[in-house]
This record gives sequence, structure tokens and C-alpha cells, in this order.
Amino acid sequence: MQPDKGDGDGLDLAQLMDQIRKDAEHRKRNSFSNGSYRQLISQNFDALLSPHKTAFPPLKLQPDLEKREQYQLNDLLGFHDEVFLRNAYKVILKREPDDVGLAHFLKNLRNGRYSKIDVLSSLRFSPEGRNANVQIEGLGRFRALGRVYRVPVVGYVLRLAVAIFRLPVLITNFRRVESHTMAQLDRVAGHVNEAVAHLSDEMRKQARTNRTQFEALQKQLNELKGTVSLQINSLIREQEKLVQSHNSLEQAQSKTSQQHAEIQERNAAELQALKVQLEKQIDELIDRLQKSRMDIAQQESRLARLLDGTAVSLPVAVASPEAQPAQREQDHLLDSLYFSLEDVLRGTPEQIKEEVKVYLPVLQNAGIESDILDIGCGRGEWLQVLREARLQARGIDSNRILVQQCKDLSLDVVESEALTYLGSVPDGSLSAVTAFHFAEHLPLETLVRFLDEAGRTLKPGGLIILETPNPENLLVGSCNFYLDPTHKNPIPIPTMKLLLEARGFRCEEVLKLHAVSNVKIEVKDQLTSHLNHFLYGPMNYAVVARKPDTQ
Amino acid sequence: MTRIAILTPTLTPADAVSNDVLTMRRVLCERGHEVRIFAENSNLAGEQIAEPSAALPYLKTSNDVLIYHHSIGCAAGVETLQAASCRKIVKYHNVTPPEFFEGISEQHQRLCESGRSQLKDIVAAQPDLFLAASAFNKSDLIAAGSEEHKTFVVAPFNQADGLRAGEADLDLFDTYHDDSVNLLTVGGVRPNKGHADLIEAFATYYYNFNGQARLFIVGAANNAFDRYAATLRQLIDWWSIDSRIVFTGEVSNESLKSYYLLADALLMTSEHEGFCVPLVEAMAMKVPIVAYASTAIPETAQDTALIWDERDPYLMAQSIDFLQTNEAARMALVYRGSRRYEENFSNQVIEKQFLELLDSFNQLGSGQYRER
Repeated sequence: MQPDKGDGDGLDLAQLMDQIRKDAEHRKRNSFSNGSYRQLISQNFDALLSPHKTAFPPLKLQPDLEKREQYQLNDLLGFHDEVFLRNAYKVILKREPDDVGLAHFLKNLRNGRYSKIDVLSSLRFSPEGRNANVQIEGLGRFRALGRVYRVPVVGYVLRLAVAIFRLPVLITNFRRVESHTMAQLDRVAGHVNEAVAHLSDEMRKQARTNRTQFEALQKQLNELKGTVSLQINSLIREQEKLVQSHNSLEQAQSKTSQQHAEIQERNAAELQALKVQLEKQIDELIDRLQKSRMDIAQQESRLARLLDGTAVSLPVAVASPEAQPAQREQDHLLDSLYFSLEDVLRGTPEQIKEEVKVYLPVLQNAGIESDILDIGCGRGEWLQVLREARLQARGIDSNRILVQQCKDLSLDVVESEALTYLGSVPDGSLSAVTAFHFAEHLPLETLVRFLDEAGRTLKPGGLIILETPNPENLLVGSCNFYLDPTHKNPIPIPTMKLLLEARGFRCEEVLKLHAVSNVKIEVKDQLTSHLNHFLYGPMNYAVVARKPDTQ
Repeated sequence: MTRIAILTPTLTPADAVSNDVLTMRRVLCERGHEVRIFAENSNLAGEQIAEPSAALPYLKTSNDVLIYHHSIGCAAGVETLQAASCRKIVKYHNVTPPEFFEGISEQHQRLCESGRSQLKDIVAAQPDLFLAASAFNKSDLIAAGSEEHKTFVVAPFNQADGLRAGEADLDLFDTYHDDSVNLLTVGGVRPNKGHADLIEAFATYYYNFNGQARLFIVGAANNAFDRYAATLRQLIDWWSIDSRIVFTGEVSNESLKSYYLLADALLMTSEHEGFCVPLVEAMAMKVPIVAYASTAIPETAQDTALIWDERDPYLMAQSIDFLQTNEAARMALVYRGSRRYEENFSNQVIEKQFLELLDSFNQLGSGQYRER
């Protein structure tokens, strides 16, 4: 309507109203109700508002009172009944009649007690009438006559005389009244007939209008029915389409999820295969690495021996041949002492036999049946266990008494120093080397050399098992370890693993053994649990390591 | 100090002409003038208002001023204007065309007929100054023969500032403050107010856009228009929306404020307005306006409202929906309205305009003014 005055609020009113108009048109087209009802409503509305226009004029039997300055008696006597009374009040008292006065006069007029003259006189000559002082020509004469009428006897005779005298006039009056009444009746009948005709006409018109409206409504209803059923049909069609799309979507979705699952499965399988392959390759690489380390270690030890040989060759050459047996005898001075300690420190042969059985499955699982060397075989408990399991093994020990005891048991035992003996064994000829409570007797340098020699003499894939006291148990680490005066240093598990790995072995397993089972602190919390572990945990451990077999 | 008589046909509460008369008296009193109001009918509480016949004896000298407010047939008013020998001002509020009352109220039809025919008599009485409530009213005066240089547009004083500053009826507010879209129309239930179109527009919105909508029809009912009201009821029944339409009848200022606070839009479908005060109230109360273009409505609202030339209920309904769904445009319209109110229709602005006109009139004096 109004163009935008550019108030700086960015509102383009004209454009906005164009948009509203378009939207409204669109809405109107899609609406069930269209213009036809509007016509109907407006017809109805007009009809409701204007029934007055067709109203039938009211019938008036008495004319309106004309306003005048002065009235004649006949001006008022021409009216009848209530209209007469109302006009009389209006003219004489200049007001509408009060309810009481009106009822009183009406009653007396209707039962004939008062004539109209009486009414007019009593109104005119009441105090209120005198006050208003309206002149009504002719009323005074009747009032004077009225006074004489009230004189006894004379009044009556006079009334009779006047009546007889006025008889012809009364008869004329009566005729006039009669014909007037008949004329009025005719007027009433005419009016009634006219009214009836008018009403019938109105009724007919109304009936016609009603019929038109009814037909219009019916037509509209039919249109609506048509529209509604069309809309319903199109809705049903749309719903069907929607259901179809929904179904195809669901199918597509299930297909997609199936494909997804398949892809996932395939990916998982491929990944698993890759993982296995990678693990295998990593294992191979580690084995190669360890092999290289072992090779290097052996080269080192060979080089060391070569250098040692060069260094000691001269003193050995010059040393007196007698001195060598004396040295060997000195080496055996402590043999009997250690033999006596063995029972106290290690336990009875039966106990030991029972304890070492734990290693049997390790060898059996590795498929080892022969070429087993037990270093420091002691009283030969392990050799006995192996023999009972029909595994072929040899033990060496430097303690002459213990060797003799083993020989008494018909065990294959050689009295020798470990390194010396191993030096005589050809490369790659042993399946397993075992050494229980041996490593802790060696200085580090000797231990390394021992590992190198074991590595050299083992076949590829051969096993080495080393058992030693476990210093993780505080009692072992701080005290029990030193019960044996020939022990050098306790070797913690990580150190042992490190040494083995460093000399080219692959550590496969650590067995923690011989925990104290009967003197535990009651476990209440983390602290007591730790205390139990450190005080009563495994007293020994063994590392199972393998010589790499990959070339 | 000048003695001023303000003469008006009727003084009633919540009536635009009466508000103009009463505020005019206050403004003139504040200027130190002696002001008295004369009216044929008055039902203002606590106000002793004299009969129009007392105005002439009150106006003693030719320097006194008679301000006659013309809004409906008023023989006593016109006669006083003709007989007065003092300076004369006519404030013209327009007269509803009598056709609107045909078949509804013969009395109003007659009063409006005489009101319109009296315009010529008023001009013939040669007032010194004509004040028209709108340019639309001014064109009526010019057509009746008033001279252009004596005829000015001055908006009527109104109670919008009172609405802004006043208290609201909070109980009423709580009663209707819900999820419904509340629509409002303000104005007496009179046949010229186009309620049939309003109801149809509301029904169209209700059935096509929002089944939660509610319509408040705020304004006094008049027994004289019972037939009109009954017809509206039938129309509402026909649409089956009687539960969504509230006829409030005459309301207090507090309640009126609550209705404006509740309203999401003011709908104006009136078919004849000399100025249309509810538009100004809506502007002041920041309520967006949707209206049919009729008589003075486009002039008063200008670019602050959605105004339609065609009386099409779908345009109305779509406009309401647009306002409901387009916050930015709604806010822009509302702020335009608020600004228009402050710049053109606050009592302060109208007072300044009115007094300036009066001052120029005073300086020139009645006789000189006439000759200019």
C-alpha cells in the first residue's frame, strides 16, 4: 500500500506485501472453502440487518392529536377509550397520565359511570388542571349543567327534560356512531386481509430465499464433498507412494548394512592375515638379530681366548710341570665342605628331585630327547629324573665327591670345570643345556663366557634353562642368598634376561618357583598384599631361553 | 487569560472524542485559561458538566473562545455556534455515514444524517479556525466550504502515553498468557467497525494457519446496536469459533494495557474512521498492525502497518501468519510504529502543534483572521 520510505531498517514494505499477497493467493487456491460461502453470508447478513424495510405499516384507527394553542370540546371527544384519556392528560395537564389515574378513569369510562365530559371536567377543574389553565371551548357550559343535575328532584326532572329534548340529536348521534363503527370494522377487515396477503407474499418470498439458500448450500456441500474426496484420494496415493519409498529405502538400507558387514569381515580377515604374517616376519627378524648377536659373542670370545692364549702361552710354557697337579688338588680342597653344605642349603635329594620335575615338560614340549648337558649336576637329582623319563643326558660337576656319588648311581657324569668341558664340545651338538643354582657362583666375566660357550655348542633352536635364587624375595636377596659362602652375587630376573638376550638367546619363559606357602600375612589391603609378595614370594626362578634357529 | 468554552455532544469514558476534549481542557487550563466544558449528555464520574444552553451566557465578551467538537448531529451545538458572538473554533472528528445504522438504530441513523447535514451550517456560522483530526476529515470540511487557510490538521489528544506509563491488570494478563496467538481489535461494537470482516478474517486465520488463535474484541457494547451484536453472534456461530472470540465490553485502562501486552497483532477492519486512535495506541504499545485501507486508516498508520486495499480475509490471515513467522520484519514494523507515535502522536507533540495554532489565532484576533 505504502511505499517504503527507507527508514534504514532494511524493510521493503512493498516487496514484503507482494510476497504476502502471493502466499495468500496460494493459500486461497489450496483452501477447501472458496468464495461461494461469502456471497451466502453477505446475503444472510443483509437479510438479518434489514427486516424493517419490508415491515407492514401499522393500522391506526384514531388519528394523531393535533397540537394547538386552544382546543374545542369536540377535538377531544373524537377520541375513545385509552387514547382519549392519554390525549386528555396531554392537553389539559400537559403530561402523560400516571398509572393510578389512568386505571381509575379507564375503569369508570368502560363501565359507563363517567361520560367523557365528566372525565374532561374533573381533569380540567382539578387543582393541577386549574394551575395549567388550558382553555377548552364548550366545557364550561356542560360543567354548569352538571352542577344543576346534582340538585335533588329538580336535577332529575331537568336531566329527563334535556334527554327528551335531545332525543332527535341522540338518535342522529347513534346512527353516526353506528355507521362510523361499521366503517372502522370494514377498515380493520381490509387491513387484516391486506396483512394476510402481505404475510403470505413475504412467506412465499422467504420460502423462495430459503430454497435458494438451501440449494446453494447443497451445491456447495456437493462441491466440498467432491473436493474432499479428491483430496483424500490424492492423500491416499501420496501415502502409498510414501510407503513404497519407505520400503525401498529400508531394502537399500539393509543391503547397504549387509555390504558394510561383509566389507568389515573381509577387512578383519585381511588384517588378521597381515598381522600373522607381520608377527612371523618380526619373529624371524628377532631370531636373526639374536643369531647375529650370538655370532658376534662367539667371535668375541674366540678372539678373547686367542688373545689370552697369546698372553699366557709364555708363563704356561715356563711353568714347572709339577706345579699344575698341585693347583688342581687345591681346586678340590673345598669339595667335601660343599658336599656337606648341599643337604643343608639345597634340601634333601628327594625334595630336589620333586622340584626339578617342573622342567621335564619344557624339554618334552620342545621335542628334545637327547644331547642334554646338565652343568653343575650336584647329587644328580635332575639326571635321575631325565633318566626315568628316558631322556639321554650327561652331567658335569667340578666336585669330585658329588661326581663319585653320581657315578655310584650309574649316571653319565664327568668331573670337569664347565668352561673347560664346554670347550671340548663341538659346535651345534647339544639339544639342551641346563644349569640349576650355577650362575650365581660365577663372576660376571665367566658367566658371559659360559653363555657364549653354551650358545656355540647348542644346536639351532636348542634350549638353555638357568635356575637361580630370586632376589625379588627380600629374605632371599638380603640373607638366604648369602647362606652359601660360595655364592658371588644375586642376579635379578631382568639382569638375567638382559644377559641372555645380549648374548644372542631368545628368552621364552620365566618360571617363578618355590613360594613360601604357609606363613603369609593376612591380606587386608594393597600394602599387606605387597608385603606378602616381597617376604613370602617365589624364592627361586628359572629362565628358559632358545638359541635362534633361523639362518 | 481567556475564557474558553468547549462544547461537545457527548462525554463518556473510553471515547476518542471525550479524551480529546478532556486533554484539551487540561492543556488550556495549564496555560492559565478559564475553561469550562458543555455537553448534551455526560456520564463521566465526578464531573459536573453544564448543558449547552449555559455556554452562551458563559461567553460574555467577543474575546472569549468557543471550541465546538463536531462528531454527530447536535442541534444545540450548532445553534450555539451560530448564536455566539465570540471567537469560534471547530474541531471536526468526522461523522459516521448514516447508512451504517440503517435497520439497526433509527436514532443513530437520524443523528448521523443531521450530523452530516449540519456541516454546512457549521461552515456557514463562519468559525475563525477549523481543526480536522486528519487530512481525510479536512477534505470533508473543504468540501463543505471551509477555507483552506483556516483549516488545519491536528491529531486528537489520546491516552496512549497513559497506557505506556500506566499499570496493567496482571490477573487478566495471566489468564490469557498462554501458547495461543492473541489477536486484538479495539473500538466500540458499532456497525461501522466492520466486525463481520474481522470475524471472517479471524476465522480464515484460525482454520488455515493456527487452531490456537484467539481474538479479543475490546470495546463497549451499546444496547442501541443489539441487532448488530446479535448478527455478529450468528456469524460467529456459523463459523463455530465462539470459544476463540472474547467480547470484553468496556474495559478499564489497566485491562486495556493488558490486552495490548497480550496482543500479537492489532487487526483493524473498520469501514469508517475519522482518525482511528487504536492505531496510535498499538504503535505506542509496540503491537504490529494489520488493517484494511479505509477512510483515515492509511493516513494514520502510513508505513508502520500492513494495510490492504482489498477486503480479502486471506490477505489478513496471511499477514498475521507472516508477522508470527518473520521476527525481523515484525520488529522493524513495530519500531517504525513506535517512532511514528513519538514523532507525531504523543500528547506532547500534539499539544505543541495545537498551542502553536492557537497562538497564531490569538495574535491575529478573530476579525483579522477572517480577513486574511
